[in-house]
Amino acid sequence: MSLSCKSKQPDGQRRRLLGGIAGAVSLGGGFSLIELALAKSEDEAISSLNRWGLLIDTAKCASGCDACVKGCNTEHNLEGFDRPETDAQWIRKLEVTDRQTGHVSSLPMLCQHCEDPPCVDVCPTGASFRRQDGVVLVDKHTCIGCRYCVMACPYKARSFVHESLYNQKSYSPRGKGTVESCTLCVHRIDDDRTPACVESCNRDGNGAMVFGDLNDADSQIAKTMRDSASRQVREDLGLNTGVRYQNL
Amino acid sequence: MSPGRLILLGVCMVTALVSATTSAVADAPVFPRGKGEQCVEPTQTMRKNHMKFLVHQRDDTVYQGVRTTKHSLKNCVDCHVQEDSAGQFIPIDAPGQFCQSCHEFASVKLDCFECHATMPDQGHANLGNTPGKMGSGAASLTAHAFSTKPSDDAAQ
Ligand code: SF4
Repeated sequence: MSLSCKSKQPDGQRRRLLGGIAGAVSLGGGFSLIELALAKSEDEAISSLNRWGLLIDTAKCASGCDACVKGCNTEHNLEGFDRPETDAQWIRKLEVTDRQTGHVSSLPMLCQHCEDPPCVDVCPTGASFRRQDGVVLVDKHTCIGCRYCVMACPYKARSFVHESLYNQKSYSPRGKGTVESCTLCVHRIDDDRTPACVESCNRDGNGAMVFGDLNDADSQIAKTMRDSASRQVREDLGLNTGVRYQNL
Repeated sequence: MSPGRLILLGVCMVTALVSATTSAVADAPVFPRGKGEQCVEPTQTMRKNHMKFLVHQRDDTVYQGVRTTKHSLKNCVDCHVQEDSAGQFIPIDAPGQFCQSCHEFASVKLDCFECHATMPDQGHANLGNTPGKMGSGAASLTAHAFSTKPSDDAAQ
């Protein structure tokens, strides 16, 4: 499993570079130029120099806690219609049991933001795509609702919207007849913020999730992944997922 | 056809055209003004090309993460949305509202709002997602949406 990407992507990283330059110029009063340098201006395009990912520690994630799920549902206004089979679900909690030992792990399952996403492979219209910074999305303007991607996803991470919706968030358009899944909160990423699930886990849960740039050797996520073992779910598929698990 | 008849026909056609134009102006949609002094582009440009700006911005945002607001749909909504007498936002696709009134007049289906928010996010906070509190136009639609929520099912 090579994480330090089989880089289709050039080395180095804009934010790291800027951070490095600004690092030398940190100012007094808790104010540092690093934060300024980190911010992507709104007219700036994303870059393949970044690859966003999540690291989830299943040892910290507790059975019965669903702070991340609640955070996601609130952020994107994922209301249920009391039809669990078809209600939208971008992140869900799973309990996985090791049949041999009986050890039970609790973990959140969501779009794994693969480098080689099966959903993108099968999509007939090109609606499923991978952003340059590694986030896998559906362009709902192009999606025809065929649901091939839903079938192709090994993580069952995608949902189909069956009902007309009327109260979407301005930053999270959703509509009947299209497929949707975790966006890794791109609207937040583009604004240099952390995804809602991670924020909720830190605030109301057990601090089991770390979000960051896998390509940035100095980021917390990259350091932790270098120093301790982590796994991909279904690593046999060789998808190079952006979401990784510890203690699984 | 004699020249006289031709002229008569011409006169009739011109009259018909003029009256059509006049009636079109008379029927022209009336919609609320946006906030501020002027739109992000000259009005005539927007009338003709707003959809091009929106599509361009849409692809930049979806694929490139460009979040400028000048030509974003969100910006249109933020500026053109109206409040009812109770201070609640009225969905911009409700009858008589900015987007809807013109699209209805031009007989062009407005499908942006099948997915996109019809009012600023603040509105949802105010509304508390409670049926009946939403502005006039979408009230019945919303009522439908809410009637299928678990709590309502339980109440039935
Ligand atoms: S449902 Fe939409 S995103 Fe999924 S494969 Fe079909 S067109 Fe592509």
